[in-house]
Amino acid sequence: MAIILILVTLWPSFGFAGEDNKKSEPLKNAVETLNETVDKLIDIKDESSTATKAKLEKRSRIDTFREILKLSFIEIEEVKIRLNNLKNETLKKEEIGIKEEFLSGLDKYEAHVNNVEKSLEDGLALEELKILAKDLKNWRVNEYQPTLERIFDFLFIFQSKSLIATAKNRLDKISEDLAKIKKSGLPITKLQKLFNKAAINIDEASILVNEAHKNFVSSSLKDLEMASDTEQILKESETPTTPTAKQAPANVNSIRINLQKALINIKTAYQTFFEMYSIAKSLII
Amino acid sequence: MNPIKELRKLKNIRPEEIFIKRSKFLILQIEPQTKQAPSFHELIESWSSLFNIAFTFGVIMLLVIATNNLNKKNIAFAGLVDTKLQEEMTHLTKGIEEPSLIYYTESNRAVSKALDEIEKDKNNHLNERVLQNEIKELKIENPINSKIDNLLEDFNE
Repeated sequence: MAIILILVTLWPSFGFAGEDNKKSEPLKNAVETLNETVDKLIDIKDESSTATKAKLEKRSRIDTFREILKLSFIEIEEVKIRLNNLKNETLKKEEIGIKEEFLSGLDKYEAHVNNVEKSLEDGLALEELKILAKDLKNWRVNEYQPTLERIFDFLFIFQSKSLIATAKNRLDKISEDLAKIKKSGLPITKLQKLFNKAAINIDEASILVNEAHKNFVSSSLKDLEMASDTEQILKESETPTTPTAKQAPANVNSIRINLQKALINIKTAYQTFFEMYSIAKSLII
Repeated sequence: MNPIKELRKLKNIRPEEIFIKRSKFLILQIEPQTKQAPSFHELIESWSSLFNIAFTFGVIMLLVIATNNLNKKNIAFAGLVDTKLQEEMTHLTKGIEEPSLIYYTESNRAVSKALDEIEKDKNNHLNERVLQNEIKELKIENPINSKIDNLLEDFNE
């Protein structure tokens, strides 16, 4: 029975792999539609000059622009949903602050995309359209993308934590089963060795994620302080606020590297569980 | 061959140590019956000899049932658990990588490319998608090409 238990406990349930990780259909569709619209634009541009070519080309440019904006709205909305899936009850005060900051940032981005949409009129001259595209590109590179990357790191941390909790839970259950097998006098040296190895991997993953979490929170709090100082200075000097480029903190890469290393450790632990399953099976049959 | 001598030899036959441990383990792990069994002492007092036979028979039966059940479950698990573990390993990788892949890389790449196309006047004539589309058209829609192919084939024959 204990061996059956160990077989069952080696069948882990992944709480983290829930709704959040299903491919986002609206976003996927929006990306596909945008690619098709771009293909059409490329085709029109490639045609030889005709009386209607310029008109068609401009129409196609506007259509492409509209698809970009549609995609941006969907993307922002989905990132908001992901952030809101992190329930405040499970977060610390400073984490709630970071989450709220991200959400309010996304609201601003939504407003920005809205403004771009308003500027996009059919009567727009080609050069104006090009400038609008260039501005949007610069805004995405300097403002939108760095923030989005930070949001992904934030979500990545909690995903990893949930994963580690599941792995630890699995490890505890296997440990109980190992004790039962040991009591029965069946040989468990190999199983115990593998169990210890998996435990070290999970511990290592836990240390790495905690480190990444600590660094993320401290760098975000610094950012928030800096942002509030800048706001104060701007208020005092009565200078109109303009969107400023947020620089990704230097330790962002180390945060991501730690999280990826943690994932490798958890994967290794599960591979070991898999190996243990084979040994447990051979003990009975 | 002296059959009496041979039978005496057989008297000393003992199972392997691992078999004893495994059997003991399997029996101990069988869930207890919910039905209240008669008191052990009562049985011993009134049915001692019969009990001995029944008990031995019961142990053998339990052992057979337990072994069968375990084997059956294992056979089921051998497919189920292995597949599940593999599936979960895939989920594990996807679960972590997906946010950045789906939400960032794909859409970001598509938007950057689209903005570039809006901005620039002329196509790059080595544009991959344009070339791919052209290849398709050349193969499917241009009858001349198939004629040339046929002619070449004829020529080779």
